[in-house]
Order: sequence, then structure tokens, then C-alpha cells
Amino acid sequence: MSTVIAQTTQVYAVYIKATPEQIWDAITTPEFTERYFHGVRMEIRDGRRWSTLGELAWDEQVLELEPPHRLVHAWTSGYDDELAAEEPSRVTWTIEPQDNGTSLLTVVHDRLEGAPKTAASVFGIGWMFVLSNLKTLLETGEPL
Amino acid sequence: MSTMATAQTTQVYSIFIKASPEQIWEAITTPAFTQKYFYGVPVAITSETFDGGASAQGAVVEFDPPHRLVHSWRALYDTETAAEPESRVTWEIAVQDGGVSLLTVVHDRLDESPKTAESVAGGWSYILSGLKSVLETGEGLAG
Repeated sequence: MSTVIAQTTQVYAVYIKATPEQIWDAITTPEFTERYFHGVRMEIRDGRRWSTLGELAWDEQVLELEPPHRLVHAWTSGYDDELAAEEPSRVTWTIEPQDNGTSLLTVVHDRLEGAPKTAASVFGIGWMFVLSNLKTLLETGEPL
Repeated sequence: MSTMATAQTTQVYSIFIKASPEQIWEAITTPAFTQKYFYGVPVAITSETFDGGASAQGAVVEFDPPHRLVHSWRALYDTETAAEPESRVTWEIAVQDGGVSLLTVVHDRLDESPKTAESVAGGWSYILSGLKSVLETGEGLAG
């Protein structure tokens, strides 16, 4: 990567041959998320996003929930003690239908000023591995 | 992207693809392939030139198959972008585990070319998403 310092507002976009509903299911259903999100099971329930990875468990506040187009939640890196000690940041998922059965999924990870180690950890290929994997799973039925 | 008030003068895009570096290299440099994901444009790339017909043109400055390609970029599809100075595009392909490769595109030297910077900011994500679909499913996103 040519950029050394991780940005405090990070924007990622991927076009997926899938409906907004299919993408929404893939980002809110634990059976789906564990197949592409580093094995983490994620579920939206009672105004929070609940994550589990093996014996680890953490949860974040859901700020906006508009299926199947918009999900905004706080982000805490519960999978790593050092990152988890940083201030919460924010993740916004936006799903927009395009032509030909394709949708545009945009992820904005911002409010990272108080979480520099998290910012560096998720920057660039961090998020793009997750989004690449999600796209492959939806288009081929198998993750990368 | 809509959340960015000003397009960046160094833009970095990356995507993981279930394909070998050789397959990705062929998809980038073969007109019959690029037509499926590069907005329908057949792009021919040799060690000398990046030839996108009336859409974009450039001179190849580094040609190291199947890992690295660097070329200048002038977008001709728009009279305003065509009038701006050349910018630069770098393609890097790095092999990963499990038959996966990481493709990174850096579009930089856009300081004097704000119209081009704005124009390509959304376009690269679309192109790389389409390239990945073609290689993994045999079909582009437009089909």
C-alpha cells in the first residue's frame, strides 16, 4: 500500500451480483457472517450487534437499522484486547440496487480518531478481505 | 464516493480474487477480457502502450508480468478530463494462500487533474468488482 498512515474515515465499495435483501441477510445472519468475516458470528438483536468468535463475545450499539438498505453500528474490536481498549468507532453499511441484478455495497468506517490501532488494523486490505469474501460467497456459494 | 467532498489525489483500491496472478494478468491485458468489465471497452496492453481506444490512452512505464504494471493515464471519454495532465496507474498482483491473489490498483499523480480524480473515484471499484466476477464466475456484472 502506498499510504502509511491509516485514515480516520475509511470508505470501501464493492459491486455484488445480488439483491439488497440477499446482502442484508449476509451481513446480519450469523450462519452467513462466520463464512466470510474471519469466522465471527454476528447477529442484530435488541438494538445491539452481538458477535461471537469461539469463547470470545462482544457487542456494540446499533445506531440505525433500515433493512435492507442501511445499517449503522458502533465498532469495538472485541477480538483483540489491545484494540478493544480503544474508543468505539462507527461503521455504516449502505446497500443500493443497481442495474442488472447488481447492488452496490458501501462500508464507511469512521470516528476512528480515538482508535488509531483499530484504524490501522482494518485499513485497506483488512476491510477489503471481508468484502471480497462476502462478494465471492454470494456470487459462487463458497467463500474465498 | 459521495461521502468524500474532494476526490483524493492518490487513490488506492484493493480486492482479493480467487485466481492465479497469471489469470489476473491476462484479464487485465487482453481486450476480449477487459470488454467484460471495463465499461465494455476493449483495452490492449503491451510493454509499450495502454490502448483503450477512444476511452483512455497511456504509455506503459513498467511491465513485469504477472505481478506489476505501471502506465500513464489520460481519460479521453470526456473533453474536460482529456485536457488535464496525465496521471499514473499502478497495478500490483500478489499471491496469497489458497489459490487467492490480492490485486491493488493505485491511481496517483492526480494533483493537477481534479476532473479525472473525481471521474475515476467511483469507477475503479466498479471495474475491480467486475474483474473479480468475470474471473470467479465467468460472467461480468453488466451481463
